[in-house]
Amino acid sequence: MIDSPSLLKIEQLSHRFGDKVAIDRIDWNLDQLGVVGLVGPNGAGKTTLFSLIAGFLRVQGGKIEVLGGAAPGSRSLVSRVAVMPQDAIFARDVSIVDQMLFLRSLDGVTGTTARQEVVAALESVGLADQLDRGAAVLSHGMGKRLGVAQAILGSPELILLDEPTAGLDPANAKQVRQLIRNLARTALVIVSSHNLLELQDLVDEVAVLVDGKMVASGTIDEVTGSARRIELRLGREILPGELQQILDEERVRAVHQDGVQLTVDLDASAKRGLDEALGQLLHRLLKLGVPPHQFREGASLEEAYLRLTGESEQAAAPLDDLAEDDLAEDDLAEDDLDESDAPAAAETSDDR
Amino acid sequence: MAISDRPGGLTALAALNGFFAISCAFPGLQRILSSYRLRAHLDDPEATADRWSRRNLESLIEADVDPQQMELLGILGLVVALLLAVSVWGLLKRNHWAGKWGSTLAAVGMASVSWLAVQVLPLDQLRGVGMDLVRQMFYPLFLLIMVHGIFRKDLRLR
Amino acid sequence: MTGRWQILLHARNFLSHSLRSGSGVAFIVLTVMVGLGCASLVFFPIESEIITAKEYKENAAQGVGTILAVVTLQPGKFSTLIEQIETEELVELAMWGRYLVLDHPVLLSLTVLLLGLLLPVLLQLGSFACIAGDVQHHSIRYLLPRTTRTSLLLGRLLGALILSWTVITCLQGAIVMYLGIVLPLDGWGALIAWGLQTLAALVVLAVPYVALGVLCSTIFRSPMVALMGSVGFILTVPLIAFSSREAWEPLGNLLYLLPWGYAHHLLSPDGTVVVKTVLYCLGHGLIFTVIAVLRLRRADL
Repeated sequence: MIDSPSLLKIEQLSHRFGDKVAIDRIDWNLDQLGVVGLVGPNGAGKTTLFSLIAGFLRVQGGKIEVLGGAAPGSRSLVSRVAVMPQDAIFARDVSIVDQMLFLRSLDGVTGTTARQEVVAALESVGLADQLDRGAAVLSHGMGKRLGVAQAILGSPELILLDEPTAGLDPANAKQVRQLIRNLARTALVIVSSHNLLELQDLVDEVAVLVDGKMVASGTIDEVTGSARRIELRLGREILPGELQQILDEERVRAVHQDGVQLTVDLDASAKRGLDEALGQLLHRLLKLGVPPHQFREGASLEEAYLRLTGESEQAAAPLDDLAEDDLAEDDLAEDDLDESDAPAAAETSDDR
Repeated sequence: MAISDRPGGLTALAALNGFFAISCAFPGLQRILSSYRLRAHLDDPEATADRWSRRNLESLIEADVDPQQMELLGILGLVVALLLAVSVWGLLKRNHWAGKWGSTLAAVGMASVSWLAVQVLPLDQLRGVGMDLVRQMFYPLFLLIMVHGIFRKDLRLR
Repeated sequence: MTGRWQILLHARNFLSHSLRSGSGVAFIVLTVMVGLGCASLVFFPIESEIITAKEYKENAAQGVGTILAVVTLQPGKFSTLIEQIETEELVELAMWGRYLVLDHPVLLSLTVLLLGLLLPVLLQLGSFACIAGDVQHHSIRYLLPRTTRTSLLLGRLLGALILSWTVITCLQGAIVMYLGIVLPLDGWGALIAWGLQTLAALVVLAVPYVALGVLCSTIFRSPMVALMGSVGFILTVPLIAFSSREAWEPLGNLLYLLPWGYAHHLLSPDGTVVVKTVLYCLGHGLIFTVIAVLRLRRADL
């Protein structure tokens, strides 16, 4: 991440739709370029937060300062903030290229330069062969890519992408992820997504919204509490006694077995924490005579997300059962992350 | 995938062309029929029994309209109606020839038939106001502007 | 990128988009059809008279025109009206009648008076989707990061005005041409001069009504509701004003919520009155525009 003065500063932001509280006293400070993920269950307030930052919705309570202190939607932010809204549609009666050229002309760029930029943007999302088509013929995924293309036109300093890879095939999703990484060299890119495995690899920081509250924010390690999930495929099923031995290892937080599949949550905190934790785990497995046939990093962020959003009880009950004792002693237990107790991760983030 | 990305304006224009095709076809047929009646009346004035038809035909004779002119106007009207019908298909299919040039020929044809009718027919046979005036003076020009300006890119040769 | 340049871009984009989407096509054709329908109402008796009394062509036309004008302005028996015109209370009406009927091409005057009554409603067809169309489909969210809300609204308003002015000019041009070629009752000179003056009156009259359409388009999020709102307002204001005036005279001033109460002065023989009326119309348009800008700037989009 590259240092830059106050790219986005949110203080005590609240927003209501009638009686429903969509955003509840959020504080968030981002002052470094890079990719920031925004996650949360449906209806958590992600799109509302994006709309408030973009200036689509009027701020009802609290304060937002964008790119050095400007209020959302103010004249000084024109063409410096780009947004890929989740539910907006392009005009069906005008060709894609003409709509993009119009958007670019609003930035003050016209003629051959604008056309080259538009074609380049559409090429970067794999839509170069659809230039003269109307938006009506685009599939859902193509529409998403078009939304991304318009957001990367020009050189915006803050880019808000609301579920940019939802509905994309793996190849296009990978292309868009690469694009986001490239954009992050010169801009702060905030991405909302439900694909946590994808976000884990993509983002530098992450924030978790639940019921309008920001329950955690910071780097992946800060949010996951330095927990790393490892997925292993073993040569045979391990016995209950052997499972307990694994769980007894100092840096093993939780273990879940499904046949020959073993999911282990490791405590990767402290210096060389992951190396030590992996060493302990592999040592124990070799000692038990069950060397792993397959080994990969699992969705640590997903585990943290489920825990933070309170969805873990439905989604991963067996895991919780096995890890109960360990988690009771853990600093990152769910209670600690409740907003009333001021989460450690969020505090770290706010201090950045 | 949506079915088509044809602009709504092209669909609206096609619908209008269809409407005006019908409004050109009926006077065309009526004029062809009138030319036969006129010919019969000139051969034997007593053969026309209906008083209204007789008055109508006599006003044509007073204005020096001959059956060939009437027939020509009728045929031209039908040709224009046919061109408009072809252009409806062309506009819906975004076809360069049928859509763009069919509409162009139809527009020129509509204006020409109207101009010829004003020159040839007596005043009481012309009701160049209201809907008819739209067709005669406004619509051909509007159609030309639309197919050669607004929808130029949509109707280009593919 | 300056705001003025963006306003022009939005205006051009609105014009192009409304024509391509079909709403502009419908607006133009409907307005011209209804407008020429009005013209046909005025012309038809004259055409009939010409056919049945060719020998009295010139005089008959003016005579029928006079009758038509008076009947239009004050329905009732002709003989009674002539007597009434001489009385004090109808001096102004007589002045208006003579001015419009005798001093200028009669049929054009009557057509413009009729258009003045119908255009306010028809103009809403060209402006109702200005903002509401984009708000409904959230496509406005692609524009807002690149432009200010004020530029967007002013650009769309300018686009709607240009579209309306073009339609009015086409309509008026067709009527003047028809009058000059097919019904050559008044010389071309008088026709063109009066045609330009009445065209200017209609162009000015369009400003507040188009601004009202844009205002409704910013208030309501659905284009159809915006259309119903603006048309409903235009039609109910005179109805309420006239009916409530019977109960309490000052309520008649409700008519001035829209230019209904003074728009006819755009055709006044007194130049000062015309200038004042133009300023009133532009002022009305400005008020609607300012409210629309304030509304859009505060709206959740």
